[in-house]
Amino acid sequence: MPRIPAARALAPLRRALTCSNSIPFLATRAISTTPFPRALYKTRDGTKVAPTIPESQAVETEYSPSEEEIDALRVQEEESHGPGLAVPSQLVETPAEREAKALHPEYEPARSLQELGALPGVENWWEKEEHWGPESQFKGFARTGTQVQQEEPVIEVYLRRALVEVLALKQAGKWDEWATKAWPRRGDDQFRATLEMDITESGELKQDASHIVAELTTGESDSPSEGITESEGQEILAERQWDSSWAQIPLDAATKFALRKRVYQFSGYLIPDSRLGAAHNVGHLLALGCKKPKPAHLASILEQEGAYDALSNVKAHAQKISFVEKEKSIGRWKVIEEELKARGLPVLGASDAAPKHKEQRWIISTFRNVKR
Amino acid sequence: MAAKGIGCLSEAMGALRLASKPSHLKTITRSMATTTEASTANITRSVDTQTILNSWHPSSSVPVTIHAFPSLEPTSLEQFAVEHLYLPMRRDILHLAVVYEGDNTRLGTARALTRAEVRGSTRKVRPQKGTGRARLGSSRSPSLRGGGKAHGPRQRDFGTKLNRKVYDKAWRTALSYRYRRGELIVTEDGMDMAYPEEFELTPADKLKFGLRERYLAKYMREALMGLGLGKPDGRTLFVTEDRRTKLFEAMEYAGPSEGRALDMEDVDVKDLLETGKVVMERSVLKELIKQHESDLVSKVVINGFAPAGPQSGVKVLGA
Repeated sequence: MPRIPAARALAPLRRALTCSNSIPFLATRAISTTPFPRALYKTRDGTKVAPTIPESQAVETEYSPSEEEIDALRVQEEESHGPGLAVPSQLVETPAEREAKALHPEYEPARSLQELGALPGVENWWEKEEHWGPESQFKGFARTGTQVQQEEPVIEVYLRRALVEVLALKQAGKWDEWATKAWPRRGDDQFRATLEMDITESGELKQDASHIVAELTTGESDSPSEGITESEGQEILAERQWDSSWAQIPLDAATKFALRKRVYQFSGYLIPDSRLGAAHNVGHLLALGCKKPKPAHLASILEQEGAYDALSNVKAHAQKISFVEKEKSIGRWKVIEEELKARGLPVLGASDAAPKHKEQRWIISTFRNVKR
Repeated sequence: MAAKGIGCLSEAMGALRLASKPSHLKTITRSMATTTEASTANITRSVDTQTILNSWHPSSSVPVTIHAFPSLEPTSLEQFAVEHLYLPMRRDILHLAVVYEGDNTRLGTARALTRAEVRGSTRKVRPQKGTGRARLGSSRSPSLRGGGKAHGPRQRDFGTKLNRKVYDKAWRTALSYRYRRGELIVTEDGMDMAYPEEFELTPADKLKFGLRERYLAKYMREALMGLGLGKPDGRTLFVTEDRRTKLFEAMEYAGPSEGRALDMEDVDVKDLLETGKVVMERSVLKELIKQHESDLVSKVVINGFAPAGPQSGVKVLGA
């Protein structure tokens, strides 16, 4: 935190220096208080907040700016309000000692820590929520801000939706025009409508899909669909019970491109090109496009596989079993604990008096020997 | 080395085994098609990922999707030659190339003074005989403090040689390795970072005292995280044709823990293998391949024409 020589209210001087938005603060020894910057800070919603001062640096004599001074600051505040990010409205610069003396003959530099004022720095400015708004958040083509989805049910539902949309565009004769364009996400209604369509074994839609095409070829809706979770995906699969023939529909390069793009838009997972090349039908794409989450520990893999079901006397633990836990499991720990307490010995760990390392033990033993 | 040889041999034998059994793969596919009771999920699960990948033997070209940057929206599709972007993994060649680059990167400027170079008198330190002490001819002897170094480092060239065709193949093997693993993201030409509109509108004097740098660092980190290119994904190497102000600046502020941005001229095989992902422009990829295909292109001119190498960057879809 930058420490600056604090000054008595030098309103005339400050007003004289308002050519830039940097305001110097000076200090005189006449007051040994710690005034804090009186600059008001603009937040994202346009409200003005005075910086808070840490309690440790709170001063006995509180600085109270005059009405005139506040007005001057407010005028500046209005002037500095413009387009752009939420930035500190006034960045405070401290003049060098020589300049300060020249500007104000009464200036006397602070000679102790207490006389210095503390300003809130700008190190953590963007870490505050009110300064880092939606305008600063990155917007990519795919969903961002959440984890990439690679679960099988989710990818299967997205693939189904994408395939229906591709077939709908082909049905409407708009495929060539829309194959590489960015399709709008549209709302949840469109999601439901696409999942209700049936696909024939030859890779065509059974119903008329003009409403899907109409939605696709218009702009983005006000509340675009955010996709589905894994459990929602499982529910949809259980509800729809699509017959397996759609997995055998052969795919050409353009269709694979569109499916990959649409799946990426909703899931955030970019199917590698090498895998895309290897996929010849929807089933392949699904197998290559999703990934089962890998358990972090071997113990959990073995548990999932049911490796211990046949072994009644084997147990797997996530952590190493300590001495105390072993004793507890056979019911001896209570006895040990009582006996230790009865002898005035520490129950867990070494006592404070005990030497912590070997060298300390040597020193203690040497000292005892000398005493004897 | 023997172990490596055996490894390569077994790999090759494995590939032969797979190639010699196409009927086996076909059987699996047909059984899936005829199973009607099983749900879609069961069918897809029964198809092993490796089986599908191993059954794919592209003969001439592989697909490469071109993305917009920084949104990463897929915009077009191109075909690249198998000899350029789908070479089999050759660890031995990559090792040769990385060692070759390392050797040639060494400055070799370490140098110590010998007894002839050390400053000092040439006078004999003391008489040869009669002092009862050891004979000493020179104060600059390596045995004495302040004397020269007997076998110290001398400046020299540590550079080694590698056949041009081997090095070029290593380049394409590295690119192929990245492509195969889905770690090579190709973007449209002119890749650069786009800053938020609000940031561009903010006057520069409002972003003093490190506010600008901190803003860009945070924005870039979040963007990389959103694109799956950040630190948790193993960092990213951006390769552009020339220095792109915004991208290079933002990557510099985001720090080396997020990745690197390099000119095409500064990239070598080791750089391609280091980070989790490699993002490069389409023209850069084509140019790098063009610069490293000496083993595919003959210099011999027949009837006024030199036979051209395989074609890459053929547009399939998109503008």
